Parts: sequence; structure tokens; C-alpha cells
Amino acid sequence: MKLNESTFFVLPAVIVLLLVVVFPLLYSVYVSLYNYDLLLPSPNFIGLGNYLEALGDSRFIASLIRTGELVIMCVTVQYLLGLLLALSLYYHVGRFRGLIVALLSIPPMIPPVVIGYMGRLIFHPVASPVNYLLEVVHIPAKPLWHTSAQTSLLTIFLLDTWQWTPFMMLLLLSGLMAIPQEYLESVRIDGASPWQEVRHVVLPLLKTVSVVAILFRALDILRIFDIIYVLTYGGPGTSSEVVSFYIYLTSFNYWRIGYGAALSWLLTIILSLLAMIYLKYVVKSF
Amino acid sequence: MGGRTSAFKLLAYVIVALAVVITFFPIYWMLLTSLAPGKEVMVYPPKFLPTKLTLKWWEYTLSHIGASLVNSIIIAGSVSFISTTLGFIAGYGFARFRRPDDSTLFWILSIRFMPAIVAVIPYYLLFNALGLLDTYPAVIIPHLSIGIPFAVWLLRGAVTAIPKELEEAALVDGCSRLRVLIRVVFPLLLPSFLATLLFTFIWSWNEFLFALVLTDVKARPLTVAIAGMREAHGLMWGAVSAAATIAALPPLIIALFFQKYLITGLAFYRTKG
Repeated sequence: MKLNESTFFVLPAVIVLLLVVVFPLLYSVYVSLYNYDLLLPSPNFIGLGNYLEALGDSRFIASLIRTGELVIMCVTVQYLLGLLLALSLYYHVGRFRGLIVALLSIPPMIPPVVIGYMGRLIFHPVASPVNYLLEVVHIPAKPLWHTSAQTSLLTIFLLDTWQWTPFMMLLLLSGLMAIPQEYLESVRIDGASPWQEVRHVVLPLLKTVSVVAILFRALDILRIFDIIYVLTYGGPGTSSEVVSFYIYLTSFNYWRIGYGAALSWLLTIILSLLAMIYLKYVVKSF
Repeated sequence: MGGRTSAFKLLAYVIVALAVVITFFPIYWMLLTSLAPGKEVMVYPPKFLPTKLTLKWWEYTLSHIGASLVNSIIIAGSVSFISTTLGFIAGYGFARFRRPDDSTLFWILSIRFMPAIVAVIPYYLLFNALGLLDTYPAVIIPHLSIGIPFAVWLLRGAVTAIPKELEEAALVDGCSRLRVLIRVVFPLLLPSFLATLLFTFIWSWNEFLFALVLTDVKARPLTVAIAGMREAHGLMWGAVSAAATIAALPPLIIALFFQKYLITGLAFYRTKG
């Protein structure tokens, strides 16, 4: 009886998801086994040929490494800044906390396409207000930001950090607010300094929420696409070509759909493996 | 000790103030670029305050991207409504009849992490074969693949928080499960239901890759229209700024006026927390 009822409620969503997710994904596996090129007449079955080609595709490997660099830079900086902000708000800002949280929660809600466009405005090679501020404080560098191969990835990192640091802050702040006050009071009665309190009591209690926040962010950056499409289109050269963007070009610019499908599966496999290793490792160290 | 504490307090205020300024500057700059007269934007040294304001670019933009704006509203509205409705029913089922570590539930949640690029390739081929490219369903269907898992997870959590006794009383009185769901559970869940509607709406409104590949001109939402202005209107900074501001407006309004629901939505990210 119970089983029937549960199926009755769960089934509609499951059926829709089978149709809109599982069926297309199975079809994608099928396509990835073909020499499917929309500019050529008929696709041939080539087995794992596309996957083997990917292993020797230096542009694909380079795009993966570039994406990895971006993940490490973004996650580290965003986590540390988010923690700094959350601790500052939690310990020292009482009266305006709600208002500030509301204001800082705006960036994660804005479409990344808009963020990419904002980047074009504030990092414009000629009329950048950021470069003007650098000049005002007598920093001689005049970076070309997204229009230079040296700094294009850095610019994307800055924009992503602008958008997502508040997300880290919000999660960590909610973790902080969930700590029972009695814990902290008893630590203070024992004479712990603020630093000891944070280091030995607060940070360990934030471990779970940190793991979740970092995992979510890492998985998001591994798939980053929108900002890059608008801001650099992977360039200059291939200096900001991340893996999703390379797969996009392969599939919808060069029209090598079968090869693109294989690359996208490799990305999905890498992503799942990393998430599993990370969770296993972190859960063990608890 | 007291001196050190107030030094920390000052430092904390400086850090937070800096964060607020850095958060606001790009938004202000975009708004300014959309409202300032043409001669005052994209100049060096930059003008931080305009001498006068003009609505010229807003009028131009609204007349040019009006159709995309309507498309965005239709697509995000449909995705939000369908996802939340299905998510409500399934979320209730999972909360009341299944264990928290149910494998179907885990499967649904993991879809949220699927890279869009892996799904967009088969969608393109399938919709091309079905003649569905550049129609609303071509965007709505892929968006459901993310919207439903999101809604299931949020609403399952919300149902778990409601005491079972309330439903059991109604069941004893002879109500059917479906009636209980609508008459007893739904009113109690209304805040979470609204939060889910808002979140799935914003997610769909912001989405870009699916919409880029699967639409052309007719069904194109705002995000794709803005990205397209990149080439076509390379020098019309005011127009693109106005369009980008319009696209950022609904999320902005929600962030500011629906704080309470936003916090509910965050529960999604604190599943294990």
C-alpha cells in the first residue's frame, strides 16, 4: 500500500526526467561512437575512435588544464574571502548585517552573460575605470585585461570571484549562525583568545558547510561557459579557452558533433570522478 | 583587550565596506553607461558622474529586444511553474514514503551537476530532427532537466519539516492523500513553494548555453540577445548596457525584496550541513 502511494507521487517527476535527461544522454553516447560530422554526408560507426582521438588532442588537454587552473584559483580565493567576510559580519557587524547580506547577495543572482558584459565595460582596453583607479593610486601597470593572452584568464577569475564570493559568504555565515551560543560561551569562559576560538572551535564546526560550498563552486567552474563566450570567446588565441568552450566550438562551429559528444562525456566522467574522490577523501578526514 | 577588540571591529567594518563598494561599482557603472549621453561613456579619463541623464538607450533597447524579453518571461515562467508543481508532488512523495538516502532521490539530485554541454549536443540533434529548434519547448525542455531536481530537493526538505500528525488527522477523517496534499500540505508549504518558483524562474532566466544553441531569432531569450549584441552593435555601449541592466533587474529585485525566500533557497546548498 505504502509502496504504491510513494510510486504514485514520485512517478510523474521521474518519468519527465527519464524523458528529458536520460533519453538525450543515451542518444549522446550513441552519437559519440560515430564519425558524426554535420558537414559530411553520412556518419560511420567508429567505436571508441572519438575517445582515442581526444586523448591525443593537445588543444583539449590544454583546455582541461586551463579549466583546472581556473577552478583552483577561484575556489581558493573565493573561499578565503568568503570566510573573511562571514567572520567579519558574524563577530563585528550586528545592526546592519541583514541589509549588508541582502546587498551582497545580488551578484550570484545576476546572469553570467551580464557579468561578462560588465567585464567588457570596466576592463575596456581604452576606457577602463579600473585602470584609471590604478593610475590614481600610482600603480604604473596598465593591464589589457581580457584583450591580452597574458591576463585573459585572470580577468575571468576576477569576474567569477566578484560574482561568487558572496555565495561562499552566505553559506559560511549560515553555518556560523547555526553554531550554538553555549559552545562559544564555554570556550570564552575557559579563557580562549578570539584567535584560538576561531581556529579551534569555529573552523572545525564549519567543515561540513565548507565541503559543500567548495564542491558546488568547483563543479560550477568546471562547467564555466557564459562569461567566456561574452567576454573573450576563448581568446586571445586560445588563452581563455576552457573545456566547455572548446567542446562548444567543436560541436557547433566546426560541426564535429560526434567528437564533441565524446569530449563532453570525458568532461562528465572527470567531473564525477573528482566529486567522488573529493567527497570520499573529505568525509574520511572528518 | 578592549583596544584589540575595537581594532578588530574597525578592520571588520573596513573589509565589509570595501566588499560593498566593490560589489556595487560594476553595477553602478553599467547603469551609468546606459543612462549617460553618448559623449560621456567609454572615455578616458572616465566620467564617474554624468552631467545629464538620457533615456535614449533604454527606449532604443526596449524597442529592439522587446521580443526577447517576452520570450524570457514565457520560458522562465513555464519552467518555473512546471518544475515547482512536479517537484512539489515528488518532494512530498520522497519526504513521506522514502528514506533520505533513497537512490532515486540521489539520482535526481545528481542531475543538477550535469554539465550543460553534454546534454545540449543530443538536444540539438533531436530537436533538429523534430523541427523543434527555435521554439519555446526547445528551451523549456532542457531547462526542466535542472529545474525539476532543484524543486524536488527544496520541497522535499520543506515537507520533512511539517509534522505528520496534521495530515494523519485529515486522513482519519476520510480525505484522500491527494486532497490532503492540496488542502493541508500546500497552504503550509506556501513560502517554500514561492521560494522554489522564484529560484527556478531566475535559474531559467539566467541560463545561456542551452538557449544559445537551441534558439535562433524567434524564441531567443534575453541572455542570447545580449550576447548577440556583441557583434551587431559593437559600439553601442549605451544600448547593450540598458539591455544588460534589464536582464539583471528581476534577479536584483528578488535579491532585495525576497530575502526571506532567498534564505529558504539556500537550504538547497546546505543539504548535508
